[in-house]
Amino acid sequence: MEIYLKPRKNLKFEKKIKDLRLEDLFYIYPSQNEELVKDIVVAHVNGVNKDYDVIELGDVISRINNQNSYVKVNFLEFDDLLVHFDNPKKDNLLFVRVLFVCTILFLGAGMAIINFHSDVDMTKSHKTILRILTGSETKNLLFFQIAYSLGIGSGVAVFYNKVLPNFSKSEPSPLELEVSTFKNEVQSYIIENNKQ
Amino acid sequence: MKLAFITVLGFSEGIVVGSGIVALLTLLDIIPRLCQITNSYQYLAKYEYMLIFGAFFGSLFSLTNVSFNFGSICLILFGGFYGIFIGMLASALAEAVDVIPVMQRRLNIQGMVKYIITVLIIGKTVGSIVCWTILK
Repeated sequence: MEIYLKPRKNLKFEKKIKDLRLEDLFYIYPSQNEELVKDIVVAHVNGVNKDYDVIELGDVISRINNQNSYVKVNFLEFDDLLVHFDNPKKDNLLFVRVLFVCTILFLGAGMAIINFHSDVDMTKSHKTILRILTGSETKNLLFFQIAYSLGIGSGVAVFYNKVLPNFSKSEPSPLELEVSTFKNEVQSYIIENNKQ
Repeated sequence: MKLAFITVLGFSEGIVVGSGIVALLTLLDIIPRLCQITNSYQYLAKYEYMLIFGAFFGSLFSLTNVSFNFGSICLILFGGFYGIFIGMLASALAEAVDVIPVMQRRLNIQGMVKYIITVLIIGKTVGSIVCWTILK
């Protein structure tokens, strides 16, 4: 009898969990064999106080064959599993942290723009452009600069495909991509360097 | 007519500049790092809006003569936030060219990275303070 195992995504369990069963960690195919193996305990995590644990695929094979020696196990992905544990209590500080990050990013983005403007002496070049276009350096300067600032906002919005043309339903923004690759790198690092 | 042309020109210039600045910020992995520290991946959309508004207001207030009347406590707070942002930016830039990993390999000092980083932190802080107080 053969079974095929595909790891579930985002494995999060409460800290008070006792045993991890096979069906908690994997999708089991074909489904007619699922009943036979789904309750096999893959790992005892009795009273963990760790934040994560790595389940090695070799252990999974050993455990299954201890229970059921005629099963042939096939994995559809060959990475070890990273299991997170957390307490289900309410996180009250989240709002404060989000506000903190928002403030840093808001002020920081503004300052990055201001630094860039001082670097290239943007005021002077705007005045030059205005002199070329209209003949006077200061008349109508404000129209130009407010339009320019709105343009900066729109440029950022277009880059992150927010607000105007909103593609974010069909495809991720560059920032979301960057964040998901970052998360994957962190996970694979933890799995590789797992020294308990 | 002239006015319309000026407005369109300014707007287009702004779009190019804004895209450039934000591409730099995205490339440097600052925001994923902040998300990881604060464990708030689900608020990513809010952070994107913050970048949009920050870039817009920063540009507007720096080019025009808008000014506010904030007190000294506000100055200390904002200075701290600016410092955090610039510190992250500088570290991310240094990390992008793999300075510390290369130093480790060449000088054979695996496991001693925390001392290097501590010294870097102290050095940057002292250097900044000296720059603003003595060398001004």
